[in-house]
Amino acid sequence: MRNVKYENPPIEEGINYSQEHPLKEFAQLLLGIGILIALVLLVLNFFAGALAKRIPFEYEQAMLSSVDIKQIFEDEELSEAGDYSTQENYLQAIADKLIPAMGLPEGMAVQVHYSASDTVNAFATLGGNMLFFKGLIDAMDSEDELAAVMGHEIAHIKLRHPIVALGKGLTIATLAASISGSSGSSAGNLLLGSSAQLSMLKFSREQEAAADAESALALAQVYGHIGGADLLFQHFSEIEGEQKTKPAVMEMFRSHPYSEDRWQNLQQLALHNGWSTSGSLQKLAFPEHQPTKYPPKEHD
Amino acid sequence: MLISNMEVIPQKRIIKHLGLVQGSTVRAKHVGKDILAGFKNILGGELTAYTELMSEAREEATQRMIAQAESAGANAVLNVRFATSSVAQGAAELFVYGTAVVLDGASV
Amino acid sequence: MWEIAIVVVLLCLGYGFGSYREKKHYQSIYAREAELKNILVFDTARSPAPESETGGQLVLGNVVISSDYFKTFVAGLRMLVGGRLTSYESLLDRGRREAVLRMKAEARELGADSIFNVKFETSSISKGGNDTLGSIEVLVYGTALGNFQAA
Repeated sequence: MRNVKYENPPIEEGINYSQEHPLKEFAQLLLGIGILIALVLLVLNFFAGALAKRIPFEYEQAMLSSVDIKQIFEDEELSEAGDYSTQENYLQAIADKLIPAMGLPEGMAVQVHYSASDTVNAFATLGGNMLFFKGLIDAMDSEDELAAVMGHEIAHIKLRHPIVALGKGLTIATLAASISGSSGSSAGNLLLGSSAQLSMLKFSREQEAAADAESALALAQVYGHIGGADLLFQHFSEIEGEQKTKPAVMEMFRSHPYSEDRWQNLQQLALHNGWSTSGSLQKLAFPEHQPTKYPPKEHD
Repeated sequence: MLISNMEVIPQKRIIKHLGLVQGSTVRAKHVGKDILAGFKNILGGELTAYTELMSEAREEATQRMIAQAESAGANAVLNVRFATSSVAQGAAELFVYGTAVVLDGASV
Repeated sequence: MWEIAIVVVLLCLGYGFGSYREKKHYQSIYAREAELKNILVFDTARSPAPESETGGQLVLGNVVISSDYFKTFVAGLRMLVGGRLTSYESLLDRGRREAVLRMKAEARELGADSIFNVKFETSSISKGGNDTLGSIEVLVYGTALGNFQAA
């Protein structure tokens, strides 16, 4: 028989695993990492923006020299590429009217493109290029309103917003990629992914407000009053209210702040600078203009 | 606590066998070190961050096994074996197990 | 927005079912450990008094475990900052104890009263995603000794 004693004493629990409640750790981690990521993003955003502004404008133009702007932004159900030079000339003329009043830096030139899509929107992008959609122009009642939009887009270009947005978007995307590549953590992906999905050319609220202010200043100088901008935001407010489910309108919705808020800000600006928000409006002489479903407003 | 991977210790006699004891731990390094290790994959050489990770894990697993042995009333663990496995990218599980015994004349 | 909603739902499911299962499993483990208490398990290769032993048959226990969504998510968060992955630790502990209990049960059926030269093997059955646990198999095996006739 064995002369060695054998025993099987019970061993205390909790040595090889933690007896802490899992939700507690979950909450701690989520909060901690959330705050960490928010801080990192804040710092990165700031530096990315500051650095991006230093990229010379000529580089922007060179970036897009081999690309057709229209191809980037077109919808699928688009009319075939036609000759839109009359429309583009008209739009360029309006831009040229506003540019002297906007104080563009030296060497910066803007070029307007036209797309016959029904989207109600207009874009400013790299290299001083702008794209106006037929849907937007059809919704305009007067030259002043169109000029308000034009001034807004030119202001984006003047303030270098496209390159700054691109810089920020790329930085966040790089951060997300490096984290997901190394640790492969789906949780990390989730937290970063939604912010990395910032469309690279989406502008922040501050940028939009700054563009609105510059545009109003130019309008006041060129037309003597900012009625165009005033009516524009009212108009957009109505469109947003009635038509917000239409895809053509949703596009505008997603990329700009609420028109109601923009209108309020405009009133403040007008008060502050002594601009008049009403005045005689210029007629819109857009070639083959088809005013749309929205009834024209009464002007005084 | 005497730890050994021999079955018998010279000059010592086993007076009681107390069964299997195990210690395990799962650890990960934080993402900054992971990214740096990713770069090291290009250059080659020792991944010091991961070496640290494995050493810490081994140390902690051994401590846990000792804790289990103490809870059973042992003063030595014999025939110790290690097992390592990767449970996720960048995280390693370290497992140590051995037989807890009471040795005659052993110093604790 | 949708992705976040789906993740939250999966998290709740994972946490709910996962913690319920874990509690139940641990209760079962405690019960069976108490029951199988007198089967002794050692990892030494030789019994101290080999001449008096009889029997000698390989017994083994194995189990394949997998992690739930909640555990994987928490482990994913933890891997960003480093440290102990506590969510996986309890999983692996359960897996090992379950495997040992199954081995002991097999020995009990044979009529043995001790198992020697016990060894553990862990292997990954599937590597889920690029970071998740997937599934792991824990295998424990040893030689059962005692008053029985080896087959």
